[in-house]
Amino acid sequence: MSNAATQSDNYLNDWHHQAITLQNNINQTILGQENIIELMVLAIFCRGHILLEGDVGVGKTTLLRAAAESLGGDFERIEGTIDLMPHDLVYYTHIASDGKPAVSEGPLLKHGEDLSIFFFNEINRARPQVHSLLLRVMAERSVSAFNKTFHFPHLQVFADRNRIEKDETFELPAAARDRFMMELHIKQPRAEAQLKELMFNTRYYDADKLVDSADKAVLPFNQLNDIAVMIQAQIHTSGAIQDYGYHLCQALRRPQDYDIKISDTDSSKLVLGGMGPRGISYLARSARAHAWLKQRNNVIPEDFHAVIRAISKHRIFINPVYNYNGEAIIEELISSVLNTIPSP
Amino acid sequence: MGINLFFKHKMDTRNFVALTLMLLMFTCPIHANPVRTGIVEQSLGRDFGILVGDIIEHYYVVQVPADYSLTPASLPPDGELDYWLELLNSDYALIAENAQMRRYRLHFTFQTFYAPLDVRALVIPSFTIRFNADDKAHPVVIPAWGFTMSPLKEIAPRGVASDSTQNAFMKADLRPITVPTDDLQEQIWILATGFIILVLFWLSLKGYLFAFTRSPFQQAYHQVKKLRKYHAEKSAFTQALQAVHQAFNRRAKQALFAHQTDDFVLQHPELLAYKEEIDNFFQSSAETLYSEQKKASPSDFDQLLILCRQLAGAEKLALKKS
Repeated sequence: MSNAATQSDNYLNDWHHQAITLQNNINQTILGQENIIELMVLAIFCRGHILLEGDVGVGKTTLLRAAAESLGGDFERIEGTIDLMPHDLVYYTHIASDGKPAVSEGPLLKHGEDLSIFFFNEINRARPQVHSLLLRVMAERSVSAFNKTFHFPHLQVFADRNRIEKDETFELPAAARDRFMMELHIKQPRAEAQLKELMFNTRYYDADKLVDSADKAVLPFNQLNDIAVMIQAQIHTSGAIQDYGYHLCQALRRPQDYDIKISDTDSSKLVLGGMGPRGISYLARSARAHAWLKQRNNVIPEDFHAVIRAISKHRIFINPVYNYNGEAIIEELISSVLNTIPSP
Repeated sequence: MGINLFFKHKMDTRNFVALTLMLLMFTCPIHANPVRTGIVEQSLGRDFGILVGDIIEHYYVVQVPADYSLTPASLPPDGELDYWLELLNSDYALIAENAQMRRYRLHFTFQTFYAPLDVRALVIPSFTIRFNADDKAHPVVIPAWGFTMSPLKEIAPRGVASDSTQNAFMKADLRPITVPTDDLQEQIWILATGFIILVLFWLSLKGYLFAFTRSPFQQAYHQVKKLRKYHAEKSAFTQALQAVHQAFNRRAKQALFAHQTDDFVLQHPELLAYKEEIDNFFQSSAETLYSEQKKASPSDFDQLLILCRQLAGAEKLALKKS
């Protein structure tokens, strides 16, 4: 083995320890969300954006705050409201100390290139105009203002929305959802012991104190882009696993070609779209990151299984006829695909 | 005498004038006759004895002044005119024209679906056809046509409620004349039996005869055994692994992966004793297929053969016990 290969292996090993530290740090703050936290860590090491969805009061905001604080770098948070407009993210006007009106850089611009996490709380309360600005920020990690372009090379967008309230909310367009690498559905813990802990342990009563109690900036955030590239370069994907990944994506788009039948649906008319080039790329990237997190040098089918729901669920658009039970149908489709496509 | 001559001369003059006037009246008409308009000829067929489903065809020849032409949109549209009457077709043709008049032939084809139980009088309603000349219109009314429909039954049925086969109102169909096929059937049976025997013989030669009843691991065993002969080829071991994976998939009735083996042996307790061997197989398969770091040797084929034989044997034993 060459020296360069050994060095990169050691580098990956060092970062693996740091990834585990990050994971444990968040796990210490948030109870009963181990799987979600692992997927978040994968997204961080793939440099993908995360949308968290769940019921009210299950800890979405606390989880994202804990992840943001653990990552380090500059952190900005904004609350989605119905009157929020794109310019509110870019600049704000105020009366300066000299008594004259002034224009200053808004929450998105003021941190410059050090902005690490942009946390958009209750994203579905913001208007589509704001969503469209966010589309560019997420896709290009840049925004134009004051006659110049601002770049955010380390930016990662964390957003959350609750799925219960629908009044005065704006559904995220398909294009915006597709730009989120993962859409994670957070549920409350089911284990009795964990629920009792959340109920009676005073440590969990104050979310601010809880987040403050965790270690901060456990990673050098400005090196994450490099390590993400290295993970993708170093983790091997064999011909057999590439075939497997390809057929998984094809089966999600065209289940009828794989004789996949979903109860009470017509498979040939079920899926309208989804799992486009961005989606399949995210699936492969997250599978590689998962293999690395499990300390393997190559991807195996289980890596796809671990991430496929988080990657594909929000990217599959089904015929509106089946929307009445859309979530269950998509869940059944993914399960059927995993049970049907063999490897090798 | 003079008076007589005068009267004679006067009478001749009057006769001459009367004769001239008569001649003028016959040779020089003072005013031309107007063109006759409307239906000048029609053919409606018989208006009695019409049965359900009959086609009724009506022809009319309509004459109109020369500057008038038929408006096709005024012809009744094809389709149901009533619940029992359908207009199958309506068309027209210009059959004659001169400086004074034009003649059109109209043709209407009706079909009646009225099924009367006794003789009924019915009427095809009248309708109007329009002829236009610039801004003038000339309607021509096609009059209603009355006719009688007859029922589809015997007027004086014989043998109603009669038990006698000979006189029964409803009689059975005649028995069809059949062609004797006994010889042909015998030949077909011989040929079919011969063909089935040949197919079974071919299937047994190929080893497919009991493939469906055999354990999937036994089938995989045969496939791996064949592939072992080509162990030097890189793809042979991959195909052998694929055959064993397919056997697991068939037994599990889904695609089976390494992390699902615990559930698999719980659902197939006869294979529980070989859990460790199964896990080793999945690990070895992953090393070959996914990490591509392992090169196959004949002993790897042997390992697969042993595993297949063990699993097939375990299934056979469980089958015997049950």
